[in-house]
This record gives sequence, structure tokens and C-alpha cells, in this order.
Amino acid sequence: MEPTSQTESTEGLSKCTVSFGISLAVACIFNALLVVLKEKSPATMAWMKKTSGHHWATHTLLSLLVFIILGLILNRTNNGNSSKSDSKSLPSLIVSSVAIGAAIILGFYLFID
Amino acid sequence: MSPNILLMAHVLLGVLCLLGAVWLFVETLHISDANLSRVRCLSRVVAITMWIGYAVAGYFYILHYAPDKAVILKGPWPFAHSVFMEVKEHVVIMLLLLVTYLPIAAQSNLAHNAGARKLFLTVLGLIAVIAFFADGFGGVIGMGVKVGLLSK
Repeated sequence: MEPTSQTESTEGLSKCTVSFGISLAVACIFNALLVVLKEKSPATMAWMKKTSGHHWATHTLLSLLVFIILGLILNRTNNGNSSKSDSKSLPSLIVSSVAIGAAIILGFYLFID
Repeated sequence: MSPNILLMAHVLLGVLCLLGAVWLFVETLHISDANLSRVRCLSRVVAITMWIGYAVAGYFYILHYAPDKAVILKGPWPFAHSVFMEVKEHVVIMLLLLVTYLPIAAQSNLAHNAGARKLFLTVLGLIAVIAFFADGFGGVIGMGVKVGLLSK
């Protein structure tokens, strides 16, 4: 990585970055679990189709709502302090949640559905 | 608008999002005070591009995809829908979440905060990888339609 002209900051991430980073990880897992739920539960699929006219549109909307609402809640409850460990663990958390989410979706359509 | 135009527009916007993510990745590897505002601005452009592409793709998928789906499922490549389309349409929701988060992550001082920079690069890497696979999966779906029509 290219060194910067000034000294690197030792501060953690901003409150908003941490809150919405965690909500992003949760929303990715939620998105994958919702795939399994709607495909396995006809009642859920019917409700999702009825709500917006198409199950995929409702799916997108619900995932976005989880991301935004959870991010806002965490942003309010977080005092504004983030440690250096947040900046180390958050990238791993996001990569893990995206990988697990993708694996659940791929595995479901390859082997279960 | 013609469904074919919508279909091509969503591919174009998806590729622009991928190129934008790669551009941002390189800019961030060489970040300084001089290009910080450009990185922040470009992160919003990537997010908006993806949102428009997603809306166009969603419009096509909901209103015009059903005949293609029927052709694929009756053709020799039914997996083009049952695996590739199903996986693509749900994995790109994560892509939408990632690009929405991108401008938030860009608000940190990327030039002087190594942790924030690592997080931003991680998100960009995920965006590029998912966009790349979505593009490839789209190609398989298109081929599914083609071989389905040729087999008639």
C-alpha cells in the first residue's frame, strides 16, 4: 500500500462505518436465510408475492430494510467510540458474511432445491 | 422501452459498476489528500450506477423475463435458470447492499487511517468479485435462452 504523506492515524473507524458495517453483515446473512425460507415455505412465498407483486422485489426491500434499520439502531446505541479492533475485525466480518451468504444461496440451489 | 434495450442497459451498467470498483481500488491503493475527494465522489457514482442498473434489471426481470425463463426450462440448459439465474438474482442483493455501504465507508479518512482504508478496499474487492460473477452468470443465462431457441 502506498505510504501517505502524513503519519497514519491510530484512531478507529467512525461510529457510522461500524454500525452500518455490522448491519451489512447481518443483512447479507438475512438475505441468504430468506432465500431458504421463501423457497421452503409456500406461505412465506405467497406473502412475499402479495406484498409487492413479486417475491424478488419484496426480498430486496426486506434486505434493504434490515440493513438500514439495524444500521440506524446500532448507530444510536453506539456511543461513538470504536476501538482499533473494530477496524481489524470489521473487514473479516463482512467478508465472512458475504461468503457464508453466497455459499448458502449457491448450496441451496445446487443441492437442495 | 424495448426489453432488449433494458437487457443491454443492465449489462452495461453492471460492467460500469465493476470498472468503477476496480478504478476506485487502484485510487485507494494510492490514496492521499489530493485524491480523497475524488475517491469519495467516485464511490457515490459507483453506488448510483449500481442502483440504476439494479432498477433496470429488476424492471426487466419482473415484467419481461417470464418468456425467456420458459424457453430456458424447456431447453437443453434448464440449469441456466434453476441454478444460475436463481443464484444471480439473490447474490446481487448483497452487491446492492455493498455498494450502498460504499459511500458510508468512504467518509472515513482513508488517506490517514489504515483500518478504514483496509475496510474500504475489502468492500471494493467484494463488489468487483460479485459483479464479475454476476456478469458471467448473465452470460450463461443468455446462452440458456439461445440453446433453448436453437433446439426448437
